[in-house]
Amino acid sequence: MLENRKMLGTKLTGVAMLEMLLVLTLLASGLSAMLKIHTHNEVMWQRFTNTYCAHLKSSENTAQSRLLDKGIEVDWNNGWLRQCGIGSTPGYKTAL
Amino acid sequence: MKTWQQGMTLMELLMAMALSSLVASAMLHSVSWLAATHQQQNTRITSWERELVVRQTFQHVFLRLRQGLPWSSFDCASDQSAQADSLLGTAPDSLLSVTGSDDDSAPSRAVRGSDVITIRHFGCAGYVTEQYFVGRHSGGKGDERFGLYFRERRGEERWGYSQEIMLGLPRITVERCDTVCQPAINVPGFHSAEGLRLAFHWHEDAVLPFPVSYLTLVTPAARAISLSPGSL
Repeated sequence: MLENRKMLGTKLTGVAMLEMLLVLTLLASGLSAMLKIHTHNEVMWQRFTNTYCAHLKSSENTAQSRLLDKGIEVDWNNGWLRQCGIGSTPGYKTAL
Repeated sequence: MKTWQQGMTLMELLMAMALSSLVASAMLHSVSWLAATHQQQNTRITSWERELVVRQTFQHVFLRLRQGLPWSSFDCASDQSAQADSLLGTAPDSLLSVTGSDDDSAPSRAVRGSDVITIRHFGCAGYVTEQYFVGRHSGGKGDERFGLYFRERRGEERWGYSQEIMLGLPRITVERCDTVCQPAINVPGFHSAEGLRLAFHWHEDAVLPFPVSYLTLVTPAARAISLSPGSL
């Protein structure tokens, strides 16, 4: 009788441990998937903005050099282009 | 035996409930996180599309203006229009105008707190094409609060809303480039300007890496004004 109780207890403990393991695996795989999605989104957006910013810079540089060729002073601030494509995009947190 | 079995059953039940709530909570959080992430990506792409559309719209407008064409779908019959223009003494001309809401001459008096961008083209036997963009930076209701609107004239004296083309662009300013680029309210005689610089002021919620973006448009050195629609 005592042995049966011990066996049953061990079996239940094993089942409980297995359940815990399954839940932990589920949570870990979920977290891993979320991390992958987040990283993918950030990397893709960063590449995307870099490409677009490069296009904008090229377009502005061409226009500025064409104006300079005409003898027009080009003294405007291009800080917006320097910001473009560098680091994270400001404002995205407030948009959420 | 019964008591022991009942005790284990209760323990199992509690453990199962705890695990279930943990899993359910995690799943709820992940669904909410996925929705937020999806929304964030949507907002990013939408912001970029808006920037691109505004840029392309104005590039297209000025390309047509530079070439002496009305920028609407109306196309001049080139030879006849040129002859008619010379007979009538109407020199091909165009006007870019940015006016504030306080300007009584602005056609958008019904839209308070707005800037009005007027593009007026003279040509084609005196035919005048006028297009109005309204950049609203205050007032309005709901989604109409901030944005760039395209307006068209309905009837002789009445102005009505037309298709909304953009949200999130509350203000546009323009600089005229002759010897230097200077802020301008009106840019008459578009053909005489060496270049233009437009500043697009984006709403603070826009997910763009800059609060203001610029578009520099340079008049070609050799101004070959072509009246052929096929040249576009």
